[in-house]
Amino acid sequence: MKGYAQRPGYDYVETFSPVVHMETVRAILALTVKNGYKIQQMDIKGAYLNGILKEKVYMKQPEGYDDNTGQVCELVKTIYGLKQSGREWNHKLDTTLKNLGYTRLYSDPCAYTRHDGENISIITVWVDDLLLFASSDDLMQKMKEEIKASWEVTDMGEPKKIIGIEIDHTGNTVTISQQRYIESILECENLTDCNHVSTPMDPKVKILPNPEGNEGSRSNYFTQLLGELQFLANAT
Amino acid sequence: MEHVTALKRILRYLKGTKSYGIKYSNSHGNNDDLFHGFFHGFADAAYANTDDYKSTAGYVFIAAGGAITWRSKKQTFTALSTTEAEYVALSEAAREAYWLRNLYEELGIKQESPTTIKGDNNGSISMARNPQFHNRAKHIAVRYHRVRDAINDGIIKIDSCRDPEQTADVLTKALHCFKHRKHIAEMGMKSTLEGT
Repeated sequence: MKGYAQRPGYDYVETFSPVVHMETVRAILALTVKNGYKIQQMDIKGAYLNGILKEKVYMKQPEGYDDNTGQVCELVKTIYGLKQSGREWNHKLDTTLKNLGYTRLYSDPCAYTRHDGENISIITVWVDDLLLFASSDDLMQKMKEEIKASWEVTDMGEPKKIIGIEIDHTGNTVTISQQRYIESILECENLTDCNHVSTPMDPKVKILPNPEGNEGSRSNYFTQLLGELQFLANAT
Repeated sequence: MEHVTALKRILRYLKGTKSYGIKYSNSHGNNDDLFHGFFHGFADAAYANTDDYKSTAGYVFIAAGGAITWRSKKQTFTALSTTEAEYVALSEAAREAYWLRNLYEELGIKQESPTTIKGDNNGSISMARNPQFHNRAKHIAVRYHRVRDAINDGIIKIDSCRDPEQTADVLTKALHCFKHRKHIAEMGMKSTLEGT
């Protein structure tokens, strides 16, 4: 089975993109500096291989492991490339976190909290990339151990980068920036050595409507990238 | 000026500000106490400033000295007055305030007092505060009047500010260098190269 050949309603029923909103992350970061929370990052190894498939999906025998009988494999667990993998992985993650006593937020289904008296632990989910927030070091240690007991994880320690955003937690400040992302765009456009300007747009200049309408791939590429930038952090 | 040229200019702007980031800090002087809440917002609109005379609305919410959510969007309808454009901008900001208050409540920080949103247009502010019939507002879609419920229910409080204090101004139109820098600094945008 190839992901692009899967038919909706037949080979898969629902897809879901298990990513936390950047707004939520920023709101939590503001809370973090106000209340002195600890932050740690963890990456779950082979996350998509953990989901259990509901639908029957078959695949050709993988190259190099083909026994030449012409038989096909029936998939039991999700693999990378299947449309439902994201959803099934998230379902598995959701169940596990709920068993650990976490509550999924209504405001953002990819954020979880657990209150224990005055203490609070928060987890945000970006597919298999978890950010952990805790009100004390002991609590953070406990959170990490519980997660390590459930999956094989890479402990990234203090987060340096989340989804292309550089993050710096020093003392009681957190700064998020996207220098490397901007540099890579400038490199693509050969503008690394250009002179910079102080504002994004000249107030006196009127932008003319594009006479050819939407210019196709080039302009779309740009608007997409810049829109992303603005959405994330830096283009204000 | 063509769109591509304008985009190139944005890239040249980014080149100069690539080391800038949003800084959240617990230090005093970021005015949170003045606003009686964990976060506060600004809503603004620039009237009929696009090719087809639609307006551009923007809002920003700030917590711990840095912007946490913001939006800059061309309005989907043609506003008949500055008041209408600003009234709708207030309404959109009110919706965001609902979400942020819900989020913080779930995170254990319940907001007891209304969230302050600042606007700089007196017509729209009084329209939101006084639920009487305004002849010039009879055409405004019902959903935008939700802002009045938000005020009555103690979700938000709308204060007026003067134009220079309107941080969201920068999200609605191109500004001159001085104002631009002032407003982005108010959103917590600082160069990561500078010392603290």
